[in-house]
Amino acid sequence: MKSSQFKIRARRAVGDADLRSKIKKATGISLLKREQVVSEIADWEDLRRRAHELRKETIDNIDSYLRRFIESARRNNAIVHEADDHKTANKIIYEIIRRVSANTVVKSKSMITEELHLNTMLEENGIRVIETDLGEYIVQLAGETPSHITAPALHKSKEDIARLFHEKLNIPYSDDPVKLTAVARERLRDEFLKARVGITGVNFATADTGTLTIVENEANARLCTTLPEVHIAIMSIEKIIPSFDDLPLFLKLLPRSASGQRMTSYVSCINGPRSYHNPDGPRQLHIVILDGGRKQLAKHPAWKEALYCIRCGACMNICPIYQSVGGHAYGSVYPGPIGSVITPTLFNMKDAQDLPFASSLCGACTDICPVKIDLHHHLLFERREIVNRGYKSSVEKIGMVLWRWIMLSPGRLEFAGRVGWFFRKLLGKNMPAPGWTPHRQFPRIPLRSFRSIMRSDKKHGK
Amino acid sequence: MENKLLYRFQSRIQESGGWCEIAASGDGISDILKSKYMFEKEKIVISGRVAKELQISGLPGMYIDEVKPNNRRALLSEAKLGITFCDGLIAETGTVVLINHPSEPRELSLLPEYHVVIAKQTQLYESLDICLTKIKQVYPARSIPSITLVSGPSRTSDIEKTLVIGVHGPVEFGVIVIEGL
Repeated sequence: MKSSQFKIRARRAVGDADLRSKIKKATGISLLKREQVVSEIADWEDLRRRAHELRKETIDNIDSYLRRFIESARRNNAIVHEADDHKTANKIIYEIIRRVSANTVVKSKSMITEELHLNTMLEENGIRVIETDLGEYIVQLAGETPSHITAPALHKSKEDIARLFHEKLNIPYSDDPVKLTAVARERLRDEFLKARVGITGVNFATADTGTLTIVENEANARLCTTLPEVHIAIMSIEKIIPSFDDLPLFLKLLPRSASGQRMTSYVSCINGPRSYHNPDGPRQLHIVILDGGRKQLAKHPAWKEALYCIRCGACMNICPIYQSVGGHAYGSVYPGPIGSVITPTLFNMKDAQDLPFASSLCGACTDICPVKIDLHHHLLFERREIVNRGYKSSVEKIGMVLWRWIMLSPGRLEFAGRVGWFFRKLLGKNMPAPGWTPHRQFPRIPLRSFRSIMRSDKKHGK
Repeated sequence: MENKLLYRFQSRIQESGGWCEIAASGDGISDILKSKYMFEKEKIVISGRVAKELQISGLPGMYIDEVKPNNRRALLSEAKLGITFCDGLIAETGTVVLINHPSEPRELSLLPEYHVVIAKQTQLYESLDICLTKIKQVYPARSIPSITLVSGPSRTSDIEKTLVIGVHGPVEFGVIVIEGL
């Protein structure tokens, strides 16, 4: 799936009333719950500012924080692997699994593994990957990809899921979420008890203590990090925060922004494998740290902000574009406003050139972001970059030059208005405006412009 | 003042789908448990810390310390109820702080269908930062074991944002706070 086909997919999604209503309902519920628990914190704005400063401090000095984190993690007896690119990371992960001769791994939800296309790679090499987060389990059964970073199956109705479970798991049809959840619990519990390798992502990695923090509600990440002999934690470099003491701040922001909870049901702070200090848990803890272009991005004066993201998904929930087209239309692992900022800057600007335009620039994403990323301004600046690189068609360029020429003179603007009125009158509802009129009516253009009314009113002394 | 904090903790736990009872003393715990659960003794597993650190004995159930480490997982995956002590309570979010402990393995609060925490009122803190500061004072620098924060039963909203309690972890989560202790 490529982000270059955004327009085609978006058009299809907008035409799918059923999909739109599912997304609207789900994002609406999330926003409502968030509002309730955010409003009870008087210094929410202060917290956002502090978090922004901490993220800036970390990304500005990412090399030194990364070094410190690796030292601390090694002191905790974790085995740390650094991977410059996606391919290397996948190879490292595969090698770890192969060395313990495991043929099945249990996995909890992680966006970085989506970015790595880890499941595909492992399955091509004969390793069965079992997604254990309920939403991911559903998406995996359906052979799809997540459409939201914290609610992967947001695009599916309970009837969709009931049909899926009925077909793939051979159970009687039921669209009761309680029954469907119970089925997943029963099927996956055995897998947890048998699995020898557990794979998880990481929410925060603290540089001073080497602690991996994983935030979740279902307990599948706890099972993945407790039962198997080997735990592989996969993270990108920007997951690092300076200190264990900063954790409470981020734990105040993340669950509230993501799911409208004061705290998720479970937060695991992992300080190494089983040892004298740590009486239980896996015998081996591997931490795979992916760069994947991030160190380069961290040097960019503006776009480094994309690395501040703590993956709450609030910007998706509030975005009028996301609400209309859903996550799949973006064709990127990271959808929504933050995805439109990250995808062109971190991966490929040419392929993702439509994404920064998938925004009304209303700024709701910037207002809701718990770490105050200036999302809509970045989208605007990316648009400029895309134009400067010459990715836009010459028709569009000529159009913009013409528009500028008209807008620079009051006389030309008024004349253009008359021309517009003439054509609207002549063609009526058939007035063509690509990308606009197939779905909406062209508005009527009045004969007299606002400015000419003002002028004549002044002349008559009103 | 202290009771205000306790009631806040209690209502936070209830809001996230758990229960919280306040016991006047350690003696009342057995009765609270009996009123809620009617499992056979073999289906209840208790943390060694409940006896050692809370000095509560005579609870119905088996103490994990008496089970060989190799047999623990099998026992716990069949168990109905796991009873643990804890290392702190957070009023702001209704959270229980559990630190890895030889007599309180992580599986004890994870595999059984029900998880009950027994805590002392003096373990209650306003916020997570205060509690973590205390923990760092107790453990020598750089040797804090893994920590798990629990704020409710296992839950999901992955199907149409409908809240369902009990996915992969305990389907019920409860806290008994011993007043004044």
